[in-house]
Amino acid sequence: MTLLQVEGLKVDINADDAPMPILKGLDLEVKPGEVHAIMGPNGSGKSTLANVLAGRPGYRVTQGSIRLDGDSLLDLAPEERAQRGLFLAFQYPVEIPGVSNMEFLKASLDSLAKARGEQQPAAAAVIGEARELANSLDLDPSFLKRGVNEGFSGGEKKRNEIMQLLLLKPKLAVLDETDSGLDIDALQTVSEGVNRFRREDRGVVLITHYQRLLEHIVPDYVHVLAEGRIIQSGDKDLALELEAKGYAWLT
Amino acid sequence: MADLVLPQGLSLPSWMQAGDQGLQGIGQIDSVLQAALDSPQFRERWKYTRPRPLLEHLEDPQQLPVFEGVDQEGITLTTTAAPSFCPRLEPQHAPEATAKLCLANTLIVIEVVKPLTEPLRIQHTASSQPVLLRLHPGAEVALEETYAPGEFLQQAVWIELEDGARLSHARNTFEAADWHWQYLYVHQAKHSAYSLHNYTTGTQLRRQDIHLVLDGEGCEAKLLGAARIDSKTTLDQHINVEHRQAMGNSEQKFHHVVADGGKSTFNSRIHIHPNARGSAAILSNKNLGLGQSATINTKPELEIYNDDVQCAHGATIGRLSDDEMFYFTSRGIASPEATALLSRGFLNQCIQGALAEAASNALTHVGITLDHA
Ligand SMILES: Nc1ncnc2c1ncn2[C@@H]1O[C@H](COP(=O)(O)OP(=O)(O)O)[C@@H](O)[C@H]1O
Ligand SMILES: [Mg+2]
Repeated sequence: MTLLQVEGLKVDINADDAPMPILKGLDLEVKPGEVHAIMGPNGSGKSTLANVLAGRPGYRVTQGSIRLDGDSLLDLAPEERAQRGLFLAFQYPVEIPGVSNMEFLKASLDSLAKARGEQQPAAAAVIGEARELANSLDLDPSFLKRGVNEGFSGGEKKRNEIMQLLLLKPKLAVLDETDSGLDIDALQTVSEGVNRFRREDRGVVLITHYQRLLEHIVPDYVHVLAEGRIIQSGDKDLALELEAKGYAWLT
Repeated sequence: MADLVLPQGLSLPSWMQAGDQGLQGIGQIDSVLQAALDSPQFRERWKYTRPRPLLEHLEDPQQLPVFEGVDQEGITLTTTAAPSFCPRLEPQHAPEATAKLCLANTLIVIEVVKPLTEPLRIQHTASSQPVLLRLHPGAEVALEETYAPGEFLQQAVWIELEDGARLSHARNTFEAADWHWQYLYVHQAKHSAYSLHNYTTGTQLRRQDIHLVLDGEGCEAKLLGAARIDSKTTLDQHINVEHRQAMGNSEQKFHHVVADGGKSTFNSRIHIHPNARGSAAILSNKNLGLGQSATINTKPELEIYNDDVQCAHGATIGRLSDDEMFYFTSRGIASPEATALLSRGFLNQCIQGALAEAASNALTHVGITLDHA
């Protein structure tokens, strides 16, 4: 059974009131247990793919399909996709003063439980788990009381994304450049978090610009995205080749 | 505006003529107030709300509120027809408020002579008798006001802060009324500090007048407000902050959420007088409109007659940001809850202090508390 199936995906955005094609027929298949790395130059459409998977408004799918566990996601709102087990770790997480991280996490967990007909978790249990996760990701637990990402450094924001990933336990995680802007220690912490998430029934789409992340999170497949298409796929050695030669030889 | 008239036979009580702040030599109060009612300034103050119902109800029966914290040493409360002091009165600024004072048979006079440990709580159960609160030099107290629902409601409070006095004032106004008027006048002597945490909802009609006068060197004033104006409700706030002496500092920050079909008017004026060198004043009003037909009038005004000042003011009217909405919905939170959470966050940026928890709960529909975090 395929976890994520993307077929012939074409996506436009509106630029200067005219549609501009960004993804031009993209295929991707992720099975449970697999980690797929997607690499590509700036502007190649990596974030567009991540956003379209999660249902961000502002994009128009003109052709193709996206299926999670066999069900089409295209007509679903972002919250419905999350409720079915999709998670996007943002390249640029937003700051939201006035709503604490704890409120946000609890609201997410409650919404997911409600949609799945499960019992909402007790606040004390959530706080306990969130504290532990924060510790394991070198986030000061006091951050739970602060506004969502408010005043966080770039690295703290990325660690907060991983903290949410581990708390919400989706089936499929799409990580958009979670490694960018991290120093070596933080990269290690974040990678360790993603590796903890890996399980035989869960999938990961790991979008990155740099090969160094893949030394910590070893992928099953590496794809090269350029000009809106996957132009090359291979195993982890493809990433090393890209590192050595750049993207130019492929495009 | 059609002719506005005050109740007939208004005369100036003798206590209002006494003392150095009284209205001696003002002549016939009827004609002074009538002239003020007929002035362009009055029409401007009452541009979005018709004042006639207010004037018609000035003589309604008035109740004694419920008090807490008046048994402490250092505070006295008296109800009297002849108060021991006269607050600064500015009939030309607020003739309706002065008229209310003239008409009152009983006034509530509270004097605080030293720093108090317990807060002074005033629970308005209906239209209240006018409250005159004086903090003597160096006195300090926290004042908390709450309100009951009603039809035509009026509460007017005059506050006198003497040298170095400090008042931290919070009020939660969340109950329904047909026509609710809250008048507040604060006069500050040198080095006094005043803060107001003003949390409110709209109702059929709610009008808040806040007139703050920094009338001594080095006064501090801070106004923080959050309001939710639901469908079919109205909030009309009129604020006037006057820097009359040097080195005063004032800060105003108001966040309003206005739902579909709600109507909010925010008019705040900073007035820096020629004497007020070295003043600093900032004012910000941010509005979040939900839905298609929220009505939001916001008008920050600056009037500056001294060059040596720092002033900034701004107002924004916006919607929830798409990025914030997407961040929340991508975590499984459905749009209505995400909207509620984000609106709550927007209001929480202005909610602090003594009545904060009740305010946050009353102003936001989301029932998530942080008790255990
Ligand atoms: N909202 C937008 N408006 C206009 N152009 C956009 C927008 N989002 C992305 N683009 C363009 O789409 C292309 C792909 O962007 P993106 O998916 O962010 O690439 P990547 O993540 O690979 O760097 C780029 O040329 C970018 O400039
Ligand atoms: Mg990107």
